[in-house]
Amino acid sequence: MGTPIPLPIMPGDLTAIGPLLAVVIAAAGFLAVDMAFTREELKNRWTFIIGIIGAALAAVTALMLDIGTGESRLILGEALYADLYTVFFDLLFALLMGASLVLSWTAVERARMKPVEFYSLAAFSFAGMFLTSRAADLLSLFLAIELLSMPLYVLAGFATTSKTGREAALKYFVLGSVASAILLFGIALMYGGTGSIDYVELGAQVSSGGRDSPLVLAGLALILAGLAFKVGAVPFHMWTPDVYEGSPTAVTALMATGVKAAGLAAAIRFLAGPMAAALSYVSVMLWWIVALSMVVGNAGAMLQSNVKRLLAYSSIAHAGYILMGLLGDSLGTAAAVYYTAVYVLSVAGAFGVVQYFGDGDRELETVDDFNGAAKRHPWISLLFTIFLLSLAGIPPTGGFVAKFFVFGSAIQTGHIGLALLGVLTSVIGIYYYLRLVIAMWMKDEGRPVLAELSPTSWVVLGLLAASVLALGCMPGWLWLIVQSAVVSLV
Amino acid sequence: MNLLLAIVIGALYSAGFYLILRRSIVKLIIGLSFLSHASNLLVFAAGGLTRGRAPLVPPGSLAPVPPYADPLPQALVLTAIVISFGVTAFALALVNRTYQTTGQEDIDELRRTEC
Amino acid sequence: MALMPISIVLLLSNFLSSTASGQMLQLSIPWVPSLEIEISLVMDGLSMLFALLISGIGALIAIYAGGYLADHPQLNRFNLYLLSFMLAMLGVVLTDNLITLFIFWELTSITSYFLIGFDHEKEEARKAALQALLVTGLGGLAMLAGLLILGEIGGTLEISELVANGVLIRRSPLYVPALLLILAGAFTKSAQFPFHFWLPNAMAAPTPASAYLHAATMVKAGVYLLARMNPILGGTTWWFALLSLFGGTTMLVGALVGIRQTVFKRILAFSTVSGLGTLVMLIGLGTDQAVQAAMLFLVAHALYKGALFLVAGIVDHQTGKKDILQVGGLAGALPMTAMAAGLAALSMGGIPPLFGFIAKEALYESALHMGYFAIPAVVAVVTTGILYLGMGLLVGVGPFLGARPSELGRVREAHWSMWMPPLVLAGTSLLFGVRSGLIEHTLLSPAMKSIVGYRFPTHLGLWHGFSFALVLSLFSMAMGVYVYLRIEDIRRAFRPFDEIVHEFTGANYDRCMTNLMAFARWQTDLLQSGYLKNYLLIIFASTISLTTYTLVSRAGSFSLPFDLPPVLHEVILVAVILAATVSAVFQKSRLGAIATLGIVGYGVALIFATFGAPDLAMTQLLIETLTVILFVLVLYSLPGFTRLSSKGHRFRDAVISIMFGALMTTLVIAALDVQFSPSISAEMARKSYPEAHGRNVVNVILVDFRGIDTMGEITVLSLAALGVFALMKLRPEKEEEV
Repeated sequence: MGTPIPLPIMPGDLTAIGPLLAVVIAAAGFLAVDMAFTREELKNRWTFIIGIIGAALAAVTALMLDIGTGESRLILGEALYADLYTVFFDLLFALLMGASLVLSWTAVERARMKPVEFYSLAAFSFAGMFLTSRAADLLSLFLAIELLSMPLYVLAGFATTSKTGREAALKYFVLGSVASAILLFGIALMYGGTGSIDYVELGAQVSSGGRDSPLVLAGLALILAGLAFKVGAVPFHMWTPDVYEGSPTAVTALMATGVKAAGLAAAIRFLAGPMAAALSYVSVMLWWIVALSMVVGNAGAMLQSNVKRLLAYSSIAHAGYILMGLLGDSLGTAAAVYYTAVYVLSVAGAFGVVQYFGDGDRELETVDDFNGAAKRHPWISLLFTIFLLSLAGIPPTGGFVAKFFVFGSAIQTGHIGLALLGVLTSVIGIYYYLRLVIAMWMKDEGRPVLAELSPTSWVVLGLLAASVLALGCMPGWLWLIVQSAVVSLV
Repeated sequence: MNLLLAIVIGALYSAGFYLILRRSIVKLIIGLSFLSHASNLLVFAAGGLTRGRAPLVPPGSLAPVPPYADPLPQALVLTAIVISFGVTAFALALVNRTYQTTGQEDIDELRRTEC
Repeated sequence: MALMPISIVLLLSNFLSSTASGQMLQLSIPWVPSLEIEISLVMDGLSMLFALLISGIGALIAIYAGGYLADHPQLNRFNLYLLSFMLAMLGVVLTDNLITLFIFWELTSITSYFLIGFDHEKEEARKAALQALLVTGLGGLAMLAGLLILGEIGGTLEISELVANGVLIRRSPLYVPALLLILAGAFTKSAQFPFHFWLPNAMAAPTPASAYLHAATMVKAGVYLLARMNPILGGTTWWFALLSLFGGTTMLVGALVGIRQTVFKRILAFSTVSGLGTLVMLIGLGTDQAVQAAMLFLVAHALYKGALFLVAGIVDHQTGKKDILQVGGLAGALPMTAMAAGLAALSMGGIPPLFGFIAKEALYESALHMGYFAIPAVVAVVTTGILYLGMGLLVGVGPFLGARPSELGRVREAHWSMWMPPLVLAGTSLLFGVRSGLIEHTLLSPAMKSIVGYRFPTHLGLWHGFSFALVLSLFSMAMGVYVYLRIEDIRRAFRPFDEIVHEFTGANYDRCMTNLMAFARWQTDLLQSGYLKNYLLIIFASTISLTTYTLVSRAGSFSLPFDLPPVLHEVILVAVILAATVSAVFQKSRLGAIATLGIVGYGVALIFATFGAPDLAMTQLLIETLTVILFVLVLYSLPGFTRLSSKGHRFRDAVISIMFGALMTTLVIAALDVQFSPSISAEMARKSYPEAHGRNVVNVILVDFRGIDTMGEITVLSLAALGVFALMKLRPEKEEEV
């Protein structure tokens, strides 16, 4: 017993997983609140306070990480990374958590869920999201994905009363488990082919001939399929429209923003990192996923009259645009990250607005329900328009710059056909997003009702809109950050 | 034996997959269980099979004596077994609840038409 | 309202002396420095000409709109759209960076969308606005792709620097794709046949917007782009052929369709289409004379077409009539308007001493010098010239002469803010005609220099001596008047032509939209059936095919593993598992299925035990027992095993399942065939005792080396438990009855 036992956890590691700890503590706090208070009013107040503190703490600890020279650091027995990339996504998820607390509250209550229950489950899901961007081996990746999905299965399931909701919950769960099985399967093959699940080791093996092993390739294809499911890319997308439409809107918002961003964070880290050398071997597969996602998502969205379903289809298309970045070089990867950020902010805003429209139990469902919104509620309609324009990729919003980066990198690396397909499908995007804008601004007959917005909601929505515009008008600074973050992946 | 194990895994996958494609809500969960068995065996097999020797460090020595079974896939499978139990339990609860509220055992009836 | 455009005009005129001397003023602000995207402004002869047109006409339009929409409750919103449009348009002509050019380009599309859809109570206006946006938006995005390719082969995104690399770009293999994509943008924006159909439909916009966007400015953006690109992309056979062919066709089609319209704004719209075709054709021809003619025609067209649109607006506003057949003899009631209309119409018809005459002379002159192509070119431009005079007379003269239909009632002259702008425009036509020197050296020849890259002598004037062009001019004037007088016959004669053009263009748009919708419906029906089963099938089928494809395309071969011969008890174990699996599939009772599931689970545990994993075996036994108990408990409240699927479906699913299983077996065999050194595992086994003081390596891995994962695992498990609890106990307050 003479030699000191090296601890697997270093003190510095705790800062590196600070955001993770912050949300876990917040989750514990929610549970404590639920037990400590009996009055709903007090429960709600403390839930909100603890949630906001948790989100803020997550953001602050993310910023406290010493990035050093930009090299990735391995922490906690080499299971997790700590670098600029994780900081970037930490901030995004922390922002989403804050936005969800402020903007989804009304929708949570409208769906007859208790905020404390909703947010304690959501907090665990956020913990999973914080893990996805930092997973440094396949086991952590698998756990992160499970951790983020499990609470959502529960959330989608227990709050709904309608048949549609039941259907959504069952589909989400069954298909999600199958996707997890596929992911696990891919991990097993990858291990079978290399004898390792570690990203660093995998990367070394893959670039030194491991990519020619049939097992590695099959494993990569299966992991890609499993992640494509979470991201909602074709042909693993079928759950999105049914589940987005059927779930309570607060849960849908979480799926459209957090789950998607987390899936992308994991996919980008894995594909652009250890698998970079093997990527050209699966580029045909990726090409088809991208092309089909853009076509199927946009064409599907054209037909929809239900707003949540429309956003679901369009999110499929956006997954395609984002993954297109991975076909390019490091600029393309950076473009994908940039696009992810813009997409998440815009969708968070769009869902934020959608959740406020409605009366009592009822929320607005179809595009026509929004007729005449601008006449009665001009300011929130303006915010909604900004988010929609960004999703449609129209300047001067961030959505345009993001599309520009992605298409630009695709053209630079010779994927001109794919870029053109992206351009063509974007026009369809303009068509269906503008239907909402037209309904709000150009039709007068409707009388959409708006729930009362608290001052904090206005602040959050305003901030989201401002950042979407800022990303469109002054993309330079974020682009620099994203570029350095991507450098640490390789 | 490797070949036999491979066939077992394939058979489990086939059965599981066939069962989850059925319309009966009960067969669906049984199918899921079959799939998880198959996955666990697969992960286990991916590390290579070694008959008999567990990865234990015998008293008096510092490392296990080779040849011993690969410990890492075992750790993975252990995780997977536990998680799949959680998933199965949840599946049962969800299906139970779905049946209670909708009274529907046919999954095909749980469907909305497009548009 | 008009103050801002006027101050922009004044601001611009400060730089007039510099641009006139051929200088190029530049200003750069970094935007995305790491990608070399800058907001760089540039001002040379071409930019100056366009910028002055945009802001000058903008000022007049703003004044006019104040009168035209005086009673409209949303006049302010209109002004806001108009101003934003103007700024976007100025951005297009003043930027030097391809990307910012594109952004401003799209902004003009967006703002024009709001302007066209301004009278949004009308379904027709909304539809037209969307059509215009989709057509120009599609072209614009294609152009973006083209511009990016151009930047890629030219090595820079700055237009002024690309000019220096022109030769390199034109030789690149990517030149043709880039050219085609950029032309797609220019042709849709400038309404070239067969993309022109959106422009006449866009006449649903309020008249001031039509006058500004669809005559004077926005539609000229495409022309501007082509002029700007001439030194970079021009001079090749492709350039010449595409531009002159599309431009020439558009010129003729526009004029031929326009002559038989009777609605004021539709005549003007089609004649604008024709005018834009003329400009594109001239730039495509690319000779000095052609470029000179293009610039002259550009200015002349903006002046007379703007004026005529505004006149059409006044007639509509004062009489409520939109059709030329419904009005007549208005000269007495609308004297100022009539004067503006007459001057503009004559300029359009190319009658001296108006500026339109000079432009037309230059046009004829350049057609005559086209060598081999002279004859078709002359025929085309003269035909067009004849029809222009006819159309000019139809809208600018006809309504003011002759007998006044009695149903018109009392008509009063419009407010001065409405008749003044067209009069100023028409008056300028006259002024420039008489005194062409006013703009020749200050504006026109610097602009030409920007297009061709060098300065060449110009001689503008009404009188060029007796030339063949003059003969052609006289001939077309006579014919133009004849056309006007025999308009009834012409309308009848050209009727079938209309159908053909529509079939080629607008009908194609409708067909595209219908087909797109049909495709969308087809693919959603195919993929989004709503059946969970189908989703699972698609997911598995895709996974299988993707994996197989990856393997087949890349992988080598592998051998069957026989290195570990089975012993008897293992064979029995495998046989039992297989038997249980098969019977599970055919089970008819719930309990039987659960029993087989249990047998399989225990069998798996025994396999773990046999191959060196006692911990796994223990866990599996425990978990399996729990699972079976759970199943038994829950399944009692669930329905029995019912056979719901048809025989055919069962067969199909069986085939797919067996294929899937076979693929898995193959993969496992491949996995077992690979020999690798399990480096990480060995490392962990080595460190297990010395560092973590654990003798069971699996436990050490789980608890020490991978502690965080185990924590995650526990969390997932407890979440599942929470979920189960939530599903069983918590009920939302109101349970909906289904």
